[in-house]
Amino acid sequence: MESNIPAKRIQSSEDLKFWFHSDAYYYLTQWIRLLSLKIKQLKNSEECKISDTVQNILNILDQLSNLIDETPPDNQPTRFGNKAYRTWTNKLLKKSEHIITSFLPEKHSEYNSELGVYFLDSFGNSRRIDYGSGHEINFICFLFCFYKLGAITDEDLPAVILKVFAKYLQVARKLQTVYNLEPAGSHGVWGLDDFQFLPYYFGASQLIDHKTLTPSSIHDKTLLKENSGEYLYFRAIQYIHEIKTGPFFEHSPILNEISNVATWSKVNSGLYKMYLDEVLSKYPIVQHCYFGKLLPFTDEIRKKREKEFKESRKKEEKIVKKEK
Amino acid sequence: MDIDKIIEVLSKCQTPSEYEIKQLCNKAIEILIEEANVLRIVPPVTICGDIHGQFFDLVELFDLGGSPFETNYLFMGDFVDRGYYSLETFLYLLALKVKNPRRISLLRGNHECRQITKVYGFYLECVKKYGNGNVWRYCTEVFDHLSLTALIGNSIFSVHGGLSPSIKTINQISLINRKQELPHEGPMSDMLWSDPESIQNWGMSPRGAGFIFGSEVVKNFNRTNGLSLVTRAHQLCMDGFQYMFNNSLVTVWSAPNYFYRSGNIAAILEIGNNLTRQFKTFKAAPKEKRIVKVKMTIPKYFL
Repeated sequence: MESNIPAKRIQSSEDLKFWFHSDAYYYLTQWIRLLSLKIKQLKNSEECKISDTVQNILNILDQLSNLIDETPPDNQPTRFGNKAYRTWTNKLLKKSEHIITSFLPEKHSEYNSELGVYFLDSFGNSRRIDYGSGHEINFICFLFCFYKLGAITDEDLPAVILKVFAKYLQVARKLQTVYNLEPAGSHGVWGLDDFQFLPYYFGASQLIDHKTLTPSSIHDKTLLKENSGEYLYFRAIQYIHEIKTGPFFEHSPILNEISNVATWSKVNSGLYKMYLDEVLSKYPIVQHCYFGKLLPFTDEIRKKREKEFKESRKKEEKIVKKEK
Repeated sequence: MDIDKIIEVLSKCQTPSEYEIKQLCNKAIEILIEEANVLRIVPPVTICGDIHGQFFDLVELFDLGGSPFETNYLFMGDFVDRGYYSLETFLYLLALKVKNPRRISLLRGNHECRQITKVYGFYLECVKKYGNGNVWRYCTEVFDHLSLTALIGNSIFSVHGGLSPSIKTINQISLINRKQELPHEGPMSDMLWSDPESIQNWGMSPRGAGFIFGSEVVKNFNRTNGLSLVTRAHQLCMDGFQYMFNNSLVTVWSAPNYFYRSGNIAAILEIGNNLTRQFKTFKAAPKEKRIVKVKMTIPKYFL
């Protein structure tokens, strides 16, 4: 009997082929494409419809930010990250019941706990005091759940990225810097960014067909400063300059190469493919993904796919024999 | 094979030919295959942690610790991934090992395997530098033969990650068949993935492999095996090293300014003839010494 509580399902790299055929994979990939489409050519300050549900998430993120202010880094000896981060996480957990029960309207309240699992794992790992692209995925899954239930509709989607996701990034970056979080599973110079991926993908969509800003504009310090408030992509690059030392081409070579791509449209579509390949296909990341009722990857589906897979292999073998 | 010529080339952070790499790896395997799962090392020896392809910082390490031709070194794994020069770093250490097998000891880290290197950069680097995956294959075969642990002077135990609930005595480690791709679970996996934590006993690891282990575990392991210290790497340290559990375990980290943002210093641990311990720390190589000659190109997704 499947439990309602989301659980980790990908337990070996052999499970990846089932993951690719799962409903969860389909929903997630279509979700991020839809979000990208909905914010095409829009600035952060774009006037959007902000529903009560969306406003509530914004308020919660503000609370989390205030909680950081109330929980300054401490002087305890540490290996790397600041242990006050664990205090912040404990405070969040104490508030979580109240927060979680506010997510959804009454008719969907049975799904609140499912959303809660994604939400609480969107802000890093308190044992390791780290943060990575897996946490970012959890927040995107969290937002998807609202949409799946109809608590967020197509009209709300610009606000979901331009207001909610933008604010989420502010909170995540504040956590990273205040508590000195380690990048979780960074690919170093072979990856896009130590902490995030989607701000670049969504950010490129905002800039499609921009009259003056091109992918190479990120190297212009003035343009960077002027546009980081309005464009997620520029803010992400600016943040890297704030936390890394040395020349940009040395510490961020992939982003540096992407600045040579001709158009934002190509950057956007390329980043989508890269996300599927470098994030969603990698076992070390997706082993930590959660699957429940709203993003399903049940044993039934897995067994069904396994059976389909075996049957199609048998068919292929028959065909091969015939050809011989 | 001209090992001196290969060392000369690698010492300048240049890469030998694919054929020379194949010869080097084959020769290295001949040596490593004879080594036990628990290397017995007579001090003095200098213990080092993760390098992760930071070649120019490895040069700083040798400047600080002494020439690898004159000083005994033990590297606790994670030579590859994340940095620009995983290939040069690993092959340089391998060539030094082949030149002087008694002086240089290399342990396997959790990054020395096919699955991880396909994700975290080493595979990409090999394909970029050689146009195909052959050198990656040669290197991963060498990884399969790397030893797992070391015992220095009978009282200091070294391993990349940490302890395993399946291993109570050092003798048990000898029973492991290590010459394979790193398994997902079991004692070999645990020793390369586990982390110490401020708890008493065992716990689930948030990494998804290995375990976390606490003060009582280390106390019992050290007492059972007559050890004064466990040295390990695997985790970034702001100060280059960190003692835990009343100085019975220490993490040594040898990749300074990790990710170009960590601002951390790196460390090496010098074990003297009488098992004396001295830490030495170092910063990242200055700008003038770092040459970025890897020509990155626009990733295939954008073409």
